[in-house]
Amino acid sequence: MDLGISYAQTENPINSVLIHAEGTLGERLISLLNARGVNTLFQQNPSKTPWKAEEIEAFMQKVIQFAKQHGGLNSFVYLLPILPRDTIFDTKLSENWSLAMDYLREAFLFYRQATKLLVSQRQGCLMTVAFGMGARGHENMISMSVVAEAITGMNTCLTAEVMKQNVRINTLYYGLIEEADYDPETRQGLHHFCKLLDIPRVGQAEDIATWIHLLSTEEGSFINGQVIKINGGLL
Amino acid sequence: MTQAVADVQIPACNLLAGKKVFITGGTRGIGRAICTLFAQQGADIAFNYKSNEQAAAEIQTEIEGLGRRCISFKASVSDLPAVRQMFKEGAKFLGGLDILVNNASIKKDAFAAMIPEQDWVDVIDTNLKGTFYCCREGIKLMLRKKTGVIINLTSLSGIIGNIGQAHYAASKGGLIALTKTLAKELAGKNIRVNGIAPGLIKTDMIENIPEKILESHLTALPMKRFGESIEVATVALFLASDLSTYMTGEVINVNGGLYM
Repeated sequence: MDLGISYAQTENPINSVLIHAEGTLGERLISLLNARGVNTLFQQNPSKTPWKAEEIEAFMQKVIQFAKQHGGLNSFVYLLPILPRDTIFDTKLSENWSLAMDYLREAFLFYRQATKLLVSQRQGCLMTVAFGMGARGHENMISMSVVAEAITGMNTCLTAEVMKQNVRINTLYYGLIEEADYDPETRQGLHHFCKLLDIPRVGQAEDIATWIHLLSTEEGSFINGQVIKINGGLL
Repeated sequence: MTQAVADVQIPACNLLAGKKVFITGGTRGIGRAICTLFAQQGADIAFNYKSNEQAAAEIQTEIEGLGRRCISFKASVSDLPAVRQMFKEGAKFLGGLDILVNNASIKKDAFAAMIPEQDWVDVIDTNLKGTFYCCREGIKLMLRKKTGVIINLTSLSGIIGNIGQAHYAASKGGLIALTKTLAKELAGKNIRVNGIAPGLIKTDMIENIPEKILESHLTALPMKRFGESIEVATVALFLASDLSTYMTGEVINVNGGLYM
């Protein structure tokens, strides 16, 4: 598990935490957010295994420290890793399903702690960033679809629970993004898929960073409880 | 608090004549209404329940009194070996499986920040994992006959959320994705998968909601009354029968207009 802080080289930066910032997408988001004036405390887990409860507890202490040192936390971003492809007929389904349920529990444990912190500050935005196939279902990604939509379901409840405390909860569903950590098959056909589906171009990490930045700032403070689809119009 | 009551009369049209049905969580509320309605429409029933043996015996007697065959299992849907066993025995008793209704569900309401990890695990295990286990076992049986219907009972909470139900909403939101994904995977195998998202239905699931909150819900409800279990069961009947043979991957809201 790698932890780090990456500072923005601007005046009056805002502060954000990024969970599961591993891989090309995570790295790119950190640098793009820094360029936009966001200090990021990030966590990367190259082994791609969900965290245990005690690890989350320990990490959240670092988050509280980070928030204290930098005058508060503006956003807490959970990047749901992309799970391997599977179908109901797949022999590896049980393994994937267990992994999906572990990520779902991990998200809950992070959110439970993060909402407490944001509520104590009376400000901030909690965001989930996920490969968004859940809303429509995806025949080759059963575990991924279920966990993404389950987190969205949880987020709708959290929104109602903490909106009065000026804490916002939003979900960003991304589609075909250049830097995302897809399986080799999807990665190889990325540009082809976009043409096939009439999507004007392959998405970039920049398209996601724009939204994370907006939702972390005062400009995005009236956007709450939304599922924002960043997918070039993929229907 | 007073409210109008639904007057629901369902003619016995044998819409499910000879169908073999498995219903999870058959002893309470919506599950119980589905068991009875489906038997009235000509289906043989297998159902499971977690603890209420007396209610299970009553339902079994009622179904057999209608001239239908019935078997019940005391088992939790979150216990994989038990699920495998009850589907094996259920299919043997019924002579196959045509329709699976995943209704078993629990809730343990609390603000998200106060939910103990064990409560999270219990709710997800029963509502989401349990349904997944039952789908998988049911699908194996349906593939043999190259036909089948699955109905998943999800919830309005999984769509628009509800204060104090983060784990419940997560499980039900996940169920919607599971329903749509399975519908896509199984459409070519002649197995239809649909969902029902009930709103506020008069079952023990709303018993613990404080009167004040229920009244505020009632004010917001365009139909100004809570639903009856039978009003969800009739939608399940439609989805289970040949009246809906071109429908798959849908989640039907049954909520008196609450989510419009």
